[in-house]
Amino acid sequence: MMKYVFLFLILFGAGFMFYKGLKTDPSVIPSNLISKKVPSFKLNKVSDYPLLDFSDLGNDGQFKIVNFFASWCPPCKVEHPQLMTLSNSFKIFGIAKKDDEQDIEKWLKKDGNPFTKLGVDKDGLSSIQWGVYGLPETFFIDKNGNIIHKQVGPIMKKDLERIKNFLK
Amino acid sequence: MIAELGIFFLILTFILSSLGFVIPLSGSTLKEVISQTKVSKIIFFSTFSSFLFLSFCFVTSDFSLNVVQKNSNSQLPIIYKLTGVWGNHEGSILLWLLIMTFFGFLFSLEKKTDKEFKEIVLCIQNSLIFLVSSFVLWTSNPFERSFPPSVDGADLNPLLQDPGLIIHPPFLYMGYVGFSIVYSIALAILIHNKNRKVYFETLKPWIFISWTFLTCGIGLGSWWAYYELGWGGFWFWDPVENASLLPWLTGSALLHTIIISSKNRSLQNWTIFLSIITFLLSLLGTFLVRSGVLVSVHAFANDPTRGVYILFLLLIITAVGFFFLLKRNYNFSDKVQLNLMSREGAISLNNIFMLTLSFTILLGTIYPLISSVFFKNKISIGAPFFNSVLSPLMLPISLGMMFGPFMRWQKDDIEKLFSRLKVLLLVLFFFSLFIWYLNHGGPVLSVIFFILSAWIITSSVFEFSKFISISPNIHFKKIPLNVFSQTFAHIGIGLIMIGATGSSILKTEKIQFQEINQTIQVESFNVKFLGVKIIEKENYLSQMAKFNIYKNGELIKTLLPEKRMYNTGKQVTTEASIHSTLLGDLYIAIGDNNSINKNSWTTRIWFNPFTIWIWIGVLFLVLGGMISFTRIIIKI
Repeated sequence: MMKYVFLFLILFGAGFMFYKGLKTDPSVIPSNLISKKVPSFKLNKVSDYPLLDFSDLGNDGQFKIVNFFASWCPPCKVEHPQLMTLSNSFKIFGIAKKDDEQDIEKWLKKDGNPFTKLGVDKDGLSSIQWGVYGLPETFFIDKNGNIIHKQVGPIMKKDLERIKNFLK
Repeated sequence: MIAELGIFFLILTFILSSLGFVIPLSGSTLKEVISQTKVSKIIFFSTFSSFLFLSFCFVTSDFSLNVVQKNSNSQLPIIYKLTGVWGNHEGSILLWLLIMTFFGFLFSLEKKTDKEFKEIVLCIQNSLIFLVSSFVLWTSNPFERSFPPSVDGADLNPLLQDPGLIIHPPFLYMGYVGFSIVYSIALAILIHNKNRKVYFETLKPWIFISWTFLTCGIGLGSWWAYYELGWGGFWFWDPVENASLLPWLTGSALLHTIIISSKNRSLQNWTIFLSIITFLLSLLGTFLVRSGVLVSVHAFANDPTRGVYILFLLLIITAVGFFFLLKRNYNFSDKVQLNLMSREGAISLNNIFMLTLSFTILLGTIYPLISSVFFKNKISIGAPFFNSVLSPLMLPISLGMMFGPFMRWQKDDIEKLFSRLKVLLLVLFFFSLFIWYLNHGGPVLSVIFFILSAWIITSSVFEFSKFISISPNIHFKKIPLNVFSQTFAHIGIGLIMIGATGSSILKTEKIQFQEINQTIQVESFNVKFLGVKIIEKENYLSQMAKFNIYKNGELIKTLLPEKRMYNTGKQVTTEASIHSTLLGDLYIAIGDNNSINKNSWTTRIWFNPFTIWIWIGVLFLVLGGMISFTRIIIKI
């Protein structure tokens, strides 16, 4: 008898799990960094642009945006005009993942530079520390230097209002 | 009108298949009048008609049908209109049902077993058909009309407008669904509760045929992703890929144990257990793909009601299977003591490792779900996990594959075994040194895996030659076919290991902005970019790039990777272009035009060593499976 009870329990457990699973959206994966301080990182300088440093992301009483991008990444180009708009109201810092300094410079000269400071993550190590697995990814940091939100994928026009609202 | 005929035949299948459980449960005398053999034949033809009517609607572009409107288009070439039948959820489930009835039909032609047993098997198979046909009718009816009817269709997903789609799903389904008859036979053995050797022999060919199709289906899918979809790899540990690998692994374990259980009555329980779970894992795969509980590249339109329904089917079929397994297992317990130092012992040991591997992959695949439901914690598990669990388990599996075939049935002696294999061991030793010498600068893991694959291949060839040397005068035609099939299959695994190791551990990748006439060196190739031109085709616009490939200063090939913009859906796809050689593939994909410098484009160039050996290995596996299968057919 026990064996049938056991079978029933296992099936019930598995059934329950899959049933619950049907009601959740698996594509939403929050960042582990939410409500934590930014992780450390080390970047290389891109020509004459001011280099982004760990100390720039401390609690200086200002909202900040950190954008992971690359010149070889097409969705980053889609996102670029929105970053330009956001840069009028917020400080945006750029981290180029596995990119070439000259390509970045060429791009920023042509399409404009939304970044207050930036740097290139040559070997991708800093991106790993931030848990970045695709480009572009954008982190929003509050006045105390805590990460409050992460957006995976390009920031589109429709996202602008939402971002401006929660950074108020 | 045509669509109404289609649905009529679908309902006919649904009603008739219910006889599979209505008659035995009611205990009526109808049993004498209506045999399941007849029912199986009729429902096959009625499902086939239904499928033909759906195909007709696709070919004639009947956009009043929802599924045709969403997945076809009047501009589509005729071949893709036809393959569009299974390029969507509803049609592919109908194909699934058709194959299920086809296997029932094939089994109804079987002559070897007694009538009573055959009736039980077909009762179960028809009940399974009943469950699936109810799923089609209630949640996935392909004959649903849209109102008002559209003038034109939305188009078939461009990724699916590819010759790969013509064959990959049907082969995969033949494998998945083939295991339904394996399940039915295993369950029938339990229900019938008579332990006869002939029943296990009946089970055997169905395992081989399903396994061969599944191997072929997985191989084709992987080939398709690599060559046609331009994903730059052959295996991504995507949940859906894992879902197809799981029944393949348990199926591979099963085709080893069935040899023993049909021979000498040991491992019977285990064989029945594997037969049941292999089909359950096939179903689980379908559930994962169609319900959207996990993130996957194989995004079908997700519909929670469908998910709940498949889950319901999965639970019923699992419950029935395991109930009888628990109830009747004493009658099939393994009374014969197994000696670990014997062929049976080696096979059982390898079975354990293969099952461990399956279970680990299963756990890794559904763990994000477990974690999100029970621990409220979202995680994702990717390739690093699977690669790291696969590597250590491949070692004992490879050793088993090498030495198992040399062991004697029932009882062997380790000293005698070693003395028989002196020459082989010596050859392997020198082979290993040689491979180590060739690769000694490379990653350790690649050296280990190359050595393991060389071991497997050498020992398989050795075993084969040994068989000939024992009886040197034997006529080639007289060599038992099972020696061929085993050698082919094992060599196939060795070759796949070479290819997988090369193209995953040793691959090089270059991504850059490449200017027109600029040359980039990748391994021993010089890749010169000659520019991009626009080409207009029947249903898409293509940006085709031209690359000249030079080796030692000589032009060896021109590659033409493309980016296609499809007219109807505004969807863009990448078509990689590949120069394949036995030593590796040069693989080029084209990206975007640089917005500053119009003369330069993003280009991605890979060199994937030994990739072609994966497909050759799969061919060997399929050949091995086919030989086994024909051998059994000839016997019958």
